[in-house]
Amino acid sequence: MALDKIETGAEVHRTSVSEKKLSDHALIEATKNGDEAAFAEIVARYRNPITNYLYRFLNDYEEAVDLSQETFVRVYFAIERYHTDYAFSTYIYRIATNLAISEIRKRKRRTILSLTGLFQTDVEDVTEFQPPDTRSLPDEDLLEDEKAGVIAKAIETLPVKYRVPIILRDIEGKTYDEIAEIMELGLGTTKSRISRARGLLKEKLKHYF
Amino acid sequence: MKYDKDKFTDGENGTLSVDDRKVAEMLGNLRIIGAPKDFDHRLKARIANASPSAHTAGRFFPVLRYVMPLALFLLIGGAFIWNSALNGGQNGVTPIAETVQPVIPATIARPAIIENKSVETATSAAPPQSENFSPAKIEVTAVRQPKASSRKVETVSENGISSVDRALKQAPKTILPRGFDPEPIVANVVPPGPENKKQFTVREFLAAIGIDAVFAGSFWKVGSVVKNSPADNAGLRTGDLIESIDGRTADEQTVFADGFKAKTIKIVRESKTLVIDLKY
Repeated sequence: MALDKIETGAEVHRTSVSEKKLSDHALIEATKNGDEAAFAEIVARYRNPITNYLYRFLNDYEEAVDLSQETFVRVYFAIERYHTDYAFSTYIYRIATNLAISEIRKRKRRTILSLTGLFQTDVEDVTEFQPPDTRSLPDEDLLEDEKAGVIAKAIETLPVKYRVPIILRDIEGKTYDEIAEIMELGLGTTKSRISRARGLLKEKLKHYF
Repeated sequence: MKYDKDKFTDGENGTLSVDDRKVAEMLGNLRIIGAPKDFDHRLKARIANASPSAHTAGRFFPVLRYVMPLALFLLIGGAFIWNSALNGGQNGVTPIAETVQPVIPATIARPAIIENKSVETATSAAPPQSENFSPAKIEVTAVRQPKASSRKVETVSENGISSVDRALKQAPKTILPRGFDPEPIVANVVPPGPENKKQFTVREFLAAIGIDAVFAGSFWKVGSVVKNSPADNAGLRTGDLIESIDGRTADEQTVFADGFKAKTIKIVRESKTLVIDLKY
């Protein structure tokens, strides 16, 4: 099993010390050659960014975690077909994006087919995953959480073609070139979509300006 | 539309507009939501339970999802069209007619199509209720001779036979399934196909009796006669002009039934009309 070394903390520490020095491509090559710790290091590097990206995309934490795992499963089984022509991060974000888009399409179908949806209200609880915090929350944090929920909702209402680049740019901090590669678009189109997405968000969040 | 130079620039290549920067900051300040603690454990279990084919086959899923039903639909549709084309609009009676074909005596079947004569001819040619009476014959006679039987009954009634006797002497009738008309069965009595060839042309008939002839407008001109053939034995010669065979005008369109044997041939020889008897 390739991920035997993920779970046991001691081994993860021992292997990750040596694997962390390697580039993504080197880790992929090592995984192809049967180095299971290399794939564990890839997972360790990308699990949080990919989960965060999918969560901001779908605004559903459980679904985001599920698709994040599916992303790594696909990477694992398709590792032989991966070519190092472009960055691994581009490759894995592209897989995650495609999965998220498929999920949104499924949601639309479910919405259309669901008769009970006619009687549901649009009010949804926007919950974010966060580690347990034993401290008492000050009012400032409460306000911040409310604002974060509104922003997340605003992002969710963006069309997919604007949602993907704005998340990658302003939340994930990707460069325009990387975003253009992930979306398989031209640089100009990518910039234009990001600009348009900001304009749309500005309209939706004007009360916070 | 006025071009806004700040629209396509941000921290990478230039400066953002104030509003765009605020939006970017709001998004950038959002909390990073990481993977749960049991992420690796769940991933490990997921990979262990997943088969490689399930994930690699996913690439072909759209093909299977859309192309396979389409191919199945075309296959079934094609089968229906092919089936209907083969039946050729015989309204579903064909299967029964086909099952009847092999048991029908050829002597009864042929004249109905070839000679286009009435059913009486066929029934008279058939042995009427002989001792070797078979179910197949019952079926055909019942279908084919209603007129003949009724005519015969009338004749008999004139001779003073009672209606009970008349009914008993009527040919037995075939019981057909509801909705099946016996007439289409009659229409299909003669099976198609070269193996059941039931007619031949005048040229073939003349060749069979030993004459090589050419049709010349309104008669057949004898080119040569095979020695010791029926035609030679009857006295036909080269140059004879054949006008009719057994009283039937013979042209290129005339056809004879299989087994047909002409008794006489009418010819013109040296401006004289002769009727020659054929001997086989």
